[in-house]
Amino acid sequence: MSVPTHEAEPILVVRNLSIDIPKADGITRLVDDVSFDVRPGEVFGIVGESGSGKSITMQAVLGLLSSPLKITSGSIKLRGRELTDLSFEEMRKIRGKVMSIVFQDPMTTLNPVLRIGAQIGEAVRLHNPSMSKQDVNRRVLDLLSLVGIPNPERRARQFPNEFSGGMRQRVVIAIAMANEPDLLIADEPTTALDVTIQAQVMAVLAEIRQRTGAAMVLITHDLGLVAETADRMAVMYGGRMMETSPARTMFEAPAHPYTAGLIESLPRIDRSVSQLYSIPGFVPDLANRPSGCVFHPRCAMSNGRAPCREQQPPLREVGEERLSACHFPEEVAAWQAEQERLIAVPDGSVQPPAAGASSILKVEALEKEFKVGSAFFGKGERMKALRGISFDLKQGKTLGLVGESGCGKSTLARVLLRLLDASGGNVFLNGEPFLELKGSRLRERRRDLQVVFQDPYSSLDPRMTVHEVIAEPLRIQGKYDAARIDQLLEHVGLTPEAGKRRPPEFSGGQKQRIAIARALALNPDVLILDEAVSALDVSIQAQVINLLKTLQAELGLTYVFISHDLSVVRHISDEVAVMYLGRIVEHGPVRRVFEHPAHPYTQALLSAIPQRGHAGTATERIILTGDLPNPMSPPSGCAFRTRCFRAVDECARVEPELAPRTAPGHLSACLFAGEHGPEAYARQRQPEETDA
Amino acid sequence: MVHFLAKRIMQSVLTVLGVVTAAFFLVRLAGDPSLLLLSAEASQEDIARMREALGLNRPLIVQYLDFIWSALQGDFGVSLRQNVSAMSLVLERVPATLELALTSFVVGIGLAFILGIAMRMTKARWLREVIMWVALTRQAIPIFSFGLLMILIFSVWLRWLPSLGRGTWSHLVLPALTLGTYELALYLRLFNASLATEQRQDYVRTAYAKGQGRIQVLLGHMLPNALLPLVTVAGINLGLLLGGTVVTETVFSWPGVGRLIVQSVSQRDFPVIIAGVFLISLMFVVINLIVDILYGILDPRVRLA
Repeated sequence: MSVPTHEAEPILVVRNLSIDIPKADGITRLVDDVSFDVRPGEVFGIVGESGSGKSITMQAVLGLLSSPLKITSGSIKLRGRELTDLSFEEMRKIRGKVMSIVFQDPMTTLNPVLRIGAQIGEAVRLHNPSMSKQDVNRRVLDLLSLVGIPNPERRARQFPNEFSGGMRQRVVIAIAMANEPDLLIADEPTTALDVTIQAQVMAVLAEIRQRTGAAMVLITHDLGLVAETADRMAVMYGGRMMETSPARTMFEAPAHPYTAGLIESLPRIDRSVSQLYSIPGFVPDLANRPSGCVFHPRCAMSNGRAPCREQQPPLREVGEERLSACHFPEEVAAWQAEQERLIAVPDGSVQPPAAGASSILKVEALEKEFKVGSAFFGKGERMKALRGISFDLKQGKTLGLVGESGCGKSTLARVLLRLLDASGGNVFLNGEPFLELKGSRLRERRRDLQVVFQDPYSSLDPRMTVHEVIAEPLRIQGKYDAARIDQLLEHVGLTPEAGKRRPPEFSGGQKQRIAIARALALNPDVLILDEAVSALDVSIQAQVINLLKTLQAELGLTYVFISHDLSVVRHISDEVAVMYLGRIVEHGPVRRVFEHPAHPYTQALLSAIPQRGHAGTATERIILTGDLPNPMSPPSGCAFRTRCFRAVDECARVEPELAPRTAPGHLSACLFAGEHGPEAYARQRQPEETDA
Repeated sequence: MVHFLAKRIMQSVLTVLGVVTAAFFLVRLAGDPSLLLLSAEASQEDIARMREALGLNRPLIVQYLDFIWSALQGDFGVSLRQNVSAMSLVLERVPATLELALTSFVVGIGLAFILGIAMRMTKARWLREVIMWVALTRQAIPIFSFGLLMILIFSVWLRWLPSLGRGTWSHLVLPALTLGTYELALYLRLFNASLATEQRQDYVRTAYAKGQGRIQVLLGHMLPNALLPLVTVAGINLGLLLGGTVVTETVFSWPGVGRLIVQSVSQRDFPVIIAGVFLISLMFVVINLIVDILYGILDPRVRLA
């Protein structure tokens, strides 16, 4: 992080920018009167939920608005030069040269049929037409090493599909930095990546900015990431700017009730709360933008006061470096304190696990192998997706299952649901050997185990009415009952009238409620929630998490909660299991695991999460090197040793058992379980740093 | 790659064998060829003698095994009508079929390529819509009516081009145009849709963000991706064209393989039908094999295994 120089002329000045989209029934304003500055060398964060207009604003800056989106008024000045009236050809000379962008999803931002070297070389060549072929190639290799890609000569000749997600994002960064731009726009650069890879990519961005002195606009929905990375930040909502303020004080002193609401909606890694605050209502429909303050219908602080309803608050100064578009910014601090008080859990009030609670889902040494490769000719190889998975889940409890993509957590869900056949081991559901059931007995017992998937957009049939969606499991089991469906809809916070409509008419959060209602239709004992809140915006995610907790308390449900988001897992789970390459490497009560992580992998995962109070203390962070090993040929001994900061020769020889090592009931599979992670990490890194 | 080829060649052999087997049994549905070879007054004894001479009195399975055994040695039998090798009759027609199929294929895909690119580059929306409307209309007219229309205009009214037969290049124009424009409509609609899909991909945005120009993005980035689905469809379609385009060949009296097979069916000339079917299925599987290899070269995500 660099210290912004306040005297210097801002590099980017956006004033009163408005962007419209013409629609059949009139014009909809997507970005409304937005103004901000970006200063040389600083990181400027723009935070907002989907539909806030944050990405569109920066696409407009780059001149990349796709038609029919149009800038209708306002000005964009880059280094004093007005951009809004430049032609496509004039903008071409600026794009990729003076400013460039890193997009969200590295799986789709690179051209799949062109070699990596050619794609980076294109960016170099475009703005250096006189450069010789050899010089371009040399620059490409330099860029690849700069973003930390080993073997640049070989890698440059490869295609994107030969790169992992994290490696691809490094390539995208190399393209963006090819001409050392003054302004780098990073649009959700790490959202599609796992948390340990996110830490790597953010480190690359920080290092490369330090070398070139580029300013960066970081667009994200992740408040923690902004607080940790940015110098100043802006919060957008409904196409308008809600506040701009120094990023470091955002968590402590938000200047707008929307920011405060978002902060209170966030599950936190460092503490427990009884429930999350949830901003009521939904993201506004921009075609029918609310009058007055765009946030007032969802603002708990406004209380329906007349100015909020009638007057659009201007973005005005409320303190040093702080602007807020609220009529009552001075009330925010008190309102936030009140919310904090309401959701706090008095210490020691956490109930101990009810003694004698019965085991409902017991998994013993579960194995899953996939045959990979041709079965017709040649020999198929085998990939072990799950190895020796065991746990015993008590009724009414939640097991959080965490790990990076490819660790096998979703495979586990599918094996438990018997959507995939296990290769070995047992599953007991209510004491019955679930894997051995067949025919009608299986069909009958399946109702005890239901699932909610991640993507509510594709998991509901768009052509069925919501009533039919929920009725389907009931009909299959011959238990159709219209009254029960109305009751289910009410249970998940929808009205029975919703049953007449079809899924596409609902927002993401509402769809997920429908999916939950469907899963509950058969009165299951156990609900498998596979990334069930991951696709939702922060404010909506909080609503659904609260709903899940309420349903669990009312109906005595047992959850298997699969997520890559450790903060959410901490909030919702009673116990947590951490998976790596098909194995559980740590398992224990949630507070114990989060407060005293025993396995180096868990320690790294936890330290990789950007969070409040971490600002400027990035040295503490454990950054794992490399990617997940190829599961086809896992490392010998402990599978994690190739990325582990603690690994010794011994780790290659023995695979440590999952066993209690630091406390009873807290299992871990590491020879060095429990030794404090960050300290060990710092010790291991020290010689390197004295070198530099 | 070697493994892939070995596997695919095995599969191709099985496919051709299956097609020929099905054809062998299906042609029997056409009826007894000896009845057509003899005059209407032929006695039961004459018929029996003819059946014996043709080997049709043996059990079907014996006939089949005998046929396969000869076919493996390259002998597809003798035409029942012309007393020459059935395969030589078919091979005689192959140049005509190749000429018509390849010309209309090149015309179709070449024009589709040019028009598809032009439609992306033009800013005139009306032009795009006119081209698409014409393409759709052409596709909606059946081959035989379009062919007759061509003959009516260019042979009967304008007297520019011959209407029948094969010989000079001018004989080729009308059948190739009839077939080629049909192909064109198919490819153009596919190509346009696939370019439209590519235009929305994120990598296009990345290319613009580098400062790349519109034409360079279209040709350098979108095109290699948009061609992939075209290659698959073009391969299947070329196979169909080579199989003989019976309707076009009939309308223009074009002496191709397709027409020969249809004639042989009505004459119950079994050896010629089967020799023709064998050759067509062979060309089909070879083209598909080439398409698969081509796909593996064009798309790095596809591994030939």
